[in-house]
Amino acid sequence: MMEEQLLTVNDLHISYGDADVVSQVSFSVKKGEIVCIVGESGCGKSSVLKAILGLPSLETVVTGGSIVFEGRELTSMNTKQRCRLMGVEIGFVPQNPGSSFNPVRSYEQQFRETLSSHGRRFDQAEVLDCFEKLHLTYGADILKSYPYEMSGGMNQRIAIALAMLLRPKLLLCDEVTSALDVTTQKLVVEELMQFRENCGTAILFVTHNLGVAAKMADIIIVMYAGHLMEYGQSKKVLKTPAHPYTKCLMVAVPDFSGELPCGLDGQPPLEGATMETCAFEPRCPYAGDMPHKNPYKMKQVSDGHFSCCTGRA
Amino acid sequence: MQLIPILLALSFLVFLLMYISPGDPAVKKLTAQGIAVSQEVLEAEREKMGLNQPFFVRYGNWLAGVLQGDFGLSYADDMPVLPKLIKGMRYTLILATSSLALALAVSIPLGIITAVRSNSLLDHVVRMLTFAGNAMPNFLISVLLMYFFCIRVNLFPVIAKGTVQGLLLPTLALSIPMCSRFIRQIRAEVLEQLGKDYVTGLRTRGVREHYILFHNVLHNSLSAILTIVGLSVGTLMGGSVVIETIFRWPGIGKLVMDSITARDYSVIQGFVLIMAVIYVVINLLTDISYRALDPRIELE
Amino acid sequence: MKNRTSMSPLKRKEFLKIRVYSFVVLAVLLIVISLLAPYLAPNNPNTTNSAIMNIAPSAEYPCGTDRLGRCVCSRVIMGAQTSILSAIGLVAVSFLIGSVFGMLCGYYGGAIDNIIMRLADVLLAFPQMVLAIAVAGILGGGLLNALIALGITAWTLYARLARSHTMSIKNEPFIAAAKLSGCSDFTILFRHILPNIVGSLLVNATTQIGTTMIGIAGLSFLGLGVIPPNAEWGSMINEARSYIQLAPWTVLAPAIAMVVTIMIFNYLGDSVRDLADVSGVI
Repeated sequence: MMEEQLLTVNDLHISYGDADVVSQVSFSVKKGEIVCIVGESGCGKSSVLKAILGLPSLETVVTGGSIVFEGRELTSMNTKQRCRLMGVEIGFVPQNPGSSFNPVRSYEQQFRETLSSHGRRFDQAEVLDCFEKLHLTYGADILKSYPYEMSGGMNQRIAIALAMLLRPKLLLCDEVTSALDVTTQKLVVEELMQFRENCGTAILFVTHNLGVAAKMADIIIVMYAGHLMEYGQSKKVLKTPAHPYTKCLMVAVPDFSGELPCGLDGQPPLEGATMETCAFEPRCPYAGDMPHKNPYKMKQVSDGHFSCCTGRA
Repeated sequence: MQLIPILLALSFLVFLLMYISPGDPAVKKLTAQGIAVSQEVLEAEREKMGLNQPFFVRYGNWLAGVLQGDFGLSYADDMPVLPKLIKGMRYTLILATSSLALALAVSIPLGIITAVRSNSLLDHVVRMLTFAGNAMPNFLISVLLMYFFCIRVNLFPVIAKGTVQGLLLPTLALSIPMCSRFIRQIRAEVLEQLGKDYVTGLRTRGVREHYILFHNVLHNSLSAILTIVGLSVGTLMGGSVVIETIFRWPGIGKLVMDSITARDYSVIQGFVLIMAVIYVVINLLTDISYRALDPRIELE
Repeated sequence: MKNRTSMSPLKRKEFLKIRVYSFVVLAVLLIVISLLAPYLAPNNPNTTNSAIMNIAPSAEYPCGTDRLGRCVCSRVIMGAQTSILSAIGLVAVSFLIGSVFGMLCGYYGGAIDNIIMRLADVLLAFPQMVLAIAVAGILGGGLLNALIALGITAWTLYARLARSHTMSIKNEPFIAAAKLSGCSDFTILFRHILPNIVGSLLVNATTQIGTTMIGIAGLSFLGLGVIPPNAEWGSMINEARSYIQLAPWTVLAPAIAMVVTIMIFNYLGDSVRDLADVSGVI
């Protein structure tokens, strides 16, 4: 069973400056699995991705726990060792589509540069084929253009194309659909799922969009205020959510029936990760008079479905 | 092109200034040539130099001459002005090129290194030095250089006669202030580029560090470096007047200083015109090169 | 990874403020020294004495004497008065003139804008120091002529800045509101627009003090500025350089004074600019 685990995150604590951003987060990703981390803005999900990437320019500091990729401990690696993983073993597509490319050098130059950094030749046919799979037409023209000339959606798909070309074992996606319109979102989600089909790449996908998670994910992880609230198989979490927060999220998703959704009042706490009591309690409709003991201890709800709270004291 | 009206206006201004300034050029000329100044000689000279004509006539005559390539005769020795200016230009160009080349050769690597290793010991030392360099006027640097290398150590001639050996100290004197400015600005630009998103993007794709630095960061910094260099051309030309005078390098700066002392208005006027043309042309060239480096910019 | 930017924004702002205050204190100290120069000088800076030419520093003459037997220390202190006060004066005047011109150009546009900006273009179509040398030379020497020569191009920096700031502010809603409520143009310019742009302009002015000092010293060194026997650091260096081997203190004393003063004003300018960046003034 352990050989199937591609990535194992155990009891992760992340700080940003003086504040704790993520606390006691543990989960794992199997080979070829698509795992979605969902949660409101600021819940720390992007920080988890950045900690896995571990590049010094991303400013998050892992202060506890471990991240094991293919049996290797990432947090004890130095920058050089980390860099060797980048691209070919662990790929990354950032949220802002414009920011992954140098705006004033052509795509072809940048593709060549990335491929030769990994000792691979630039094969135009291969690249164009990749573009085809992502419904990017006129691939040859795209290669000659510059990133500043392209729209956000195009840039994002080209970034995904380059990530796919490198054939990483694990692809990290940081809210890649958030900056896109609905039609492009659908395309990108389908392309990523196709990518998993073709290459067996595992995907760790961070989003605040439950619809995307519903379509893509094998496993859904729900985070709130830096803590893990619930995780399990996608269907189970969506159909039978256990944690009060997840239940509120489901109800808050707008549908086309014409009725307004029930929003969630209030705001997540800023220092949620450092709280001893349950960070969600102020907004929780099930909160009783007694505070939760061990509010973040994971309990099994059913086979493959865990939550740290089921709404009953 | 706005060049023509600007040149006209500039030459008019200088002409006007010289017209209203004290000192009689005829007197100066005669004394410079060692001729005794008596009333008849003075009158004859003034007539010959056309100093008795009304202002606009003089200006018009001069302008007409310039358009035909005749910049008039130098007051100091009655030789044509334009060839003098051109000869001086050659020497100044040599000095300017060598000092700019030296400055860039030192500043670009140091600027990059101090940016990549910012806040290291090397960075702090370099920044202290550049700060000191910025606070020292170029004439002071020249005087000190002269003291240490000519008088104390006698390595170089005190009077730079336009030889290669004589080129070294003036080049150093011009380069040191430029380096101080360039290093700071290049460092700032490279630091800014290193903080941009695309650098993170490149790193997450595993692109090798030297690709990132030289093919991306440096490429994007080049247009800023070009601006810095372009802006320095003016200071370079101004600095060279001082340095050529101190080291007696036979460039156009020394020529103009001598002409100012001798009240040789012909040369001064011609100098102003030529300098303005060169300055504007260089600015134009800088604008054009931007386009090649950053395709987002459109030429106006 | 610890670097300077990992200091929290609030702490950094505090640090920058302290820096600015320290250098303001130093700068004010220098200004006070220059104002009190005649009282601080140990000897008369202009008294020549052929008996004690070029003697080394001693108790009576802390920096020795120059080639005419004058006390170098006193001349350096008097030179401070000339250099510092005239640099600040020139910056102040060109700042005032340039800012007013710039505001008028930005606000009214049209003919005024065209004329003044064309004039600025003409003046800037020429390397500034060279023009200053040419103008100073033509006008003859003297401190006033040197200041005029430098000032001819100095105002353009403030004019362009003021103009662009004014142009971006004049379309703001609060200006329209002021107009509608019947404010005169003068009021709008000086009560509404000026306070919003003066910060950025002042920051630039501060950074220019050091450069102006170098300009004045440079012109004096060439003999186009302050004429001896008046004391000024640039002209002192020029006078003394032929004797540098014999009496290095005659060059070193004014040189050190000049470099230290310029460094202090440069640091002041840098700290003000850093603080303004963080406070969003620029």
